[in-house]
Amino acid sequence: MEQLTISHVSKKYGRQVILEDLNCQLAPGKIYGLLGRNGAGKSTLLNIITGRIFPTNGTVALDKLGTNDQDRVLGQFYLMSESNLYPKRTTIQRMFDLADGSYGHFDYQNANRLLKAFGIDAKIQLSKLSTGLQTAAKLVVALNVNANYVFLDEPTLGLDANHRELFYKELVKSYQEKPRTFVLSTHLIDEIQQLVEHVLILADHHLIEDADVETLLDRAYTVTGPANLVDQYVAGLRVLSADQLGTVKTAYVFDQLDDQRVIPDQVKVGHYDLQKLFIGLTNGGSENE
Amino acid sequence: MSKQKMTLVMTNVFHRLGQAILITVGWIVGFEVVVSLMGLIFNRNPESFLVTLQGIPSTLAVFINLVLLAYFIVTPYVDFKWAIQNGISRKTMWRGRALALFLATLVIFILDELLSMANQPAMSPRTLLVNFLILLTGVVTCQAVGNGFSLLNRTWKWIVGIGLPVMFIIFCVIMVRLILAMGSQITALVENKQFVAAMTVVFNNPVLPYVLWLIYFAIMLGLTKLFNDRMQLRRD
Repeated sequence: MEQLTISHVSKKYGRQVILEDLNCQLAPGKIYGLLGRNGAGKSTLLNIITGRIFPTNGTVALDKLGTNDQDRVLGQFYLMSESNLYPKRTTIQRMFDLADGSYGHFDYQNANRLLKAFGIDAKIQLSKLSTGLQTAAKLVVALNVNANYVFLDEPTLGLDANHRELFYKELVKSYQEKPRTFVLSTHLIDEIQQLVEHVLILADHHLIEDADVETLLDRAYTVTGPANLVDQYVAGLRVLSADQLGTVKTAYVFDQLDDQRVIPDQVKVGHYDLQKLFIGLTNGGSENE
Repeated sequence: MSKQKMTLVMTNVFHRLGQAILITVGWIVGFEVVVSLMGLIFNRNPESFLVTLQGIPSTLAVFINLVLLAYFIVTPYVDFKWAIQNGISRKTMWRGRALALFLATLVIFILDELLSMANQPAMSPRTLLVNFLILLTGVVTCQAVGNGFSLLNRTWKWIVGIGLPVMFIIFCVIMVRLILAMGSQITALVENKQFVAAMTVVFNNPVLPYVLWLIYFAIMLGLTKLFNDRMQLRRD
């Protein structure tokens, strides 16, 4: 499998800047999380990668082959998104057939099993399903399509907790059986933290983080204790946010703690999760850089 | 794989166009039969009833042509959406739709001729060819218009949809006024023997209409490709 390279991609709608000079690479056989606040440009980026829209500047290439209008390249990408791009009366079965006709080797057996698990009839029209079941039906196609890069934009939109759990389980199963790249763009960070290996965080039209989850969380510390000691300890570190309850303060640090920094007795150092880190990074900056 | 994708695009066109034609045929036959039956009930004239029924094939021929033209105006963006959803490139979509357009036009032209056979004498091969080329050019023009409109959002569709015909009418009015204003010069030109002789040579040339047609056809086909290659998901 080839590597997907995004080089200097920008997108503007009139004067509105959505993405600016974005650079990153997606490796084959890895699960990515694409995170960003509403309007950060996640869907725009996925639409550009899959050739649905053109970038204002920049290129997307799969092993040096531009994605723009290359069947060989586009045939390796599948984007499941909120928008329904099928004609009005398209049935789920027809969606399977189209995926099979375009990508080849669609896994009908597994798709039908999954449909049953979600409680969907293959003969029903997609537009006649509820929002959650429409998402489920699209996920069934996405998990069984023969594409090396599967992009899932809001894959849990409208799904209830049971169906979300089923989806996460099936995603892992599908990945284990046939490793390929999945990119999950979602706001439910807590739920995908255990699933994704690498995250891309978009904010202010730029990619502000592009790292493995483990590497990121290794730099995410909570420093809790008396306010004056905490302030003293985190001086010079990148503090994303802080909570204070009486005299007890918790600072959320996103930095490398060096061994020479002595931890005062009353101060405790711990770790926080990806969601907290995301909020800190996208809430407008740091307190103490 | 490209060939398989192109076949998918083509079969989709045939499938949906076939559905549209079947619905149209159902409506027309149903409507004409009901109207004829009502006439029979009121007039009690079986001959008039049969004559009305005999008119159904020619009505069908007209409406099937209209469906064909309308199909290629309305569907480019719909086809683009499902095609790009399934990793089909714009190039393959254009090729598939162009080939489907040609084959569908040919089949519908043959169907038209069969339906019209009862009401008109058999035509010479040259007339048949000319009629086919006229229909094909009409459909390709509709395809170019449809592809062009696919690039516009709702607001611009209204602006262009109303603006362009209005501009065309204004242009025609200006041209007529210009010709009327130049009345004496045009009369002098028409009375000029050399000019008339030159024009006669040009217009009597049997190749000229085909050359003009070819230029127009190439421009329209080029426009379908140009607009097709710029199609992208709209935000409206």
